[in-house]
Amino acid sequence: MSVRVVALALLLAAHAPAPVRAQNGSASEVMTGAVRAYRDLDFDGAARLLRRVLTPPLATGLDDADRARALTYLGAAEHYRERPDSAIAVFRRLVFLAPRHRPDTLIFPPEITRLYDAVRSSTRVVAVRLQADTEFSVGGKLVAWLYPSTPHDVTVAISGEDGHALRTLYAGPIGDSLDVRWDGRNSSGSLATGDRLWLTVASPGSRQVRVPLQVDVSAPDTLLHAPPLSNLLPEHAGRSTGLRSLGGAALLAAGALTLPSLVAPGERASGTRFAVAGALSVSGVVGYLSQRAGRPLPENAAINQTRRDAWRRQDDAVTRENAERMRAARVRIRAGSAVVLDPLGNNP
Amino acid sequence: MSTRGMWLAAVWGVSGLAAPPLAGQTTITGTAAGLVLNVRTRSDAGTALGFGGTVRFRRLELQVRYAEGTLQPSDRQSVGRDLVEGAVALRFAATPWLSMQLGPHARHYDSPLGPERWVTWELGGRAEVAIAGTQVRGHAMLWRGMGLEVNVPPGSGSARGGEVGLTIDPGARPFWFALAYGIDQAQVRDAARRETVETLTFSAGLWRRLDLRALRSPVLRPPLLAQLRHGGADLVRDLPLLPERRDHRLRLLGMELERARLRDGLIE
Repeated sequence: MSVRVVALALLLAAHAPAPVRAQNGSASEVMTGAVRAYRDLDFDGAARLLRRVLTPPLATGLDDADRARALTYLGAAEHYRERPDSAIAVFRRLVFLAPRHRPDTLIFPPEITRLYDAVRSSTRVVAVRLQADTEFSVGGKLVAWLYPSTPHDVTVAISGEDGHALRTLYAGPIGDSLDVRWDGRNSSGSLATGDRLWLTVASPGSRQVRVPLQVDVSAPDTLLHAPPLSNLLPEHAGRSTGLRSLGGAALLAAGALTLPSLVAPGERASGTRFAVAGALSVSGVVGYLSQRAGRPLPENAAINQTRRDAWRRQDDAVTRENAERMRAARVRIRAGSAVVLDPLGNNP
Repeated sequence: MSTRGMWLAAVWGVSGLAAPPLAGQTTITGTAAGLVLNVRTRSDAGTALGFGGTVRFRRLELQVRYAEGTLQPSDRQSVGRDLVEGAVALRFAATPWLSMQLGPHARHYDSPLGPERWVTWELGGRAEVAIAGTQVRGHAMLWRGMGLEVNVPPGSGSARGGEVGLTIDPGARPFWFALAYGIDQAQVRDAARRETVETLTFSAGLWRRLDLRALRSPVLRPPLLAQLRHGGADLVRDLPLLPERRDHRLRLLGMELERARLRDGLIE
């Protein structure tokens, strides 16, 4: 190789375009080079650098704002490269990443912003923002803010590991934004716990956004409720009620007559016991006649009412005590990164 | 009281205290009655008058009975003797129809030969049966003497007895009536002496139920009770806010304002 050829090669390398120099730099340097190439109307070079910066390993050095900026430039570059399908695909990806993002109208011309708006309008997706770590007591709530790409209907639910909805938080239209609140309970009112719960935002016929939740509940033991009443008396006389009264009275009357022989055998008892035996016998007959089958027994009804009232008071006391104890419960919810799934469950 | 009797009394008391309260039972039921007793022994008979009463809270019931009268000999030749009888019994309702009871029963005879006293510690069981709803109930009781002491001649022995009767309680009204037949026999050890007494008792009385919650003073209302339990300075701070005091303060404040308004009016 002659000296002239080497000198020419060095000269060309010194005047090489920016994209070539940026090929081995960091993500921000590559991004800067891509933007410069775009401004220099080198859309092919810009697209090549932007695709590089949006794929690992450089993509890991970008935050969401940088990624959105890169996608915006890439979509515009693809548009000017006359690849409309690629531009639409890039803009759709941008909508999934940041539904609220808008291209800067000072940088991008109206044809780019119109194209982006058209893609955004036809792509229904919701961005979910919530605190990474939320802790509250009973009565408090987890708040999730939802930002849609375009107004549409959504269903927001808490679902279990198997995808089965534990509780639907909201179902209806969403416009500019929406905040939904969850008190940590499932649809039956009890506190939902689990390592793999999901906050699911489903847009019908479109993507589904899922945020993994880890819910820990530190709740004290609660009291058991009183068992159902089982010792209620019959409120209407049965066939045996009168007979039982008659039998009991007869037994007592016999007891009165035989009591002296039991207690003081050999003694001659007086006749006073006959008065009591007679009174018991008469009472037994009266009891038998007054308690025929089907007759209401108001005394038993009153006793039952007293028992029911006592049971209700006890149950209310347990309910109050449990509510008091549950006030001390703490719910801690840790949220992970949102995942966007297409209707078939694949990550786009 | 013998050691055995004391042990039984202790077990009795502990079982009563340890018994779980029935839900919602915050009422005390008390009865008071006048008694007419027809008392018969082997040698004499007579009528005694007295009174009795019971206090019941949850499963425990305390019964007191006192009567006195004169027994006339059946041969009409001997001199009559005065009778004073008293009994106290602590009853524990194991079930709604079965209860156990323990307590002393004393009989005092005043005869020309001198006073004679029989004291028996009775331990027994009592069963109740409803005959006509809850308005007419029958009962049967058997007891055994845990210790018998007699002063003339000094000695001890054994005793046993029983009672059968019925109680009429109209329910809607606080009256009740009872008729009971009882018999007991006491045997003095080493003295070949035996005393058998039959008693026909007619009782007429009143009952009353008292709700303990109604006994609470207005000052000790639940919020204040809660503060008392928790203690602390809140009690002192909140005492003036009791409704009575608050209303009184508001009235005073209103009077002060009215007075100030009149004074200002006069000045103008």
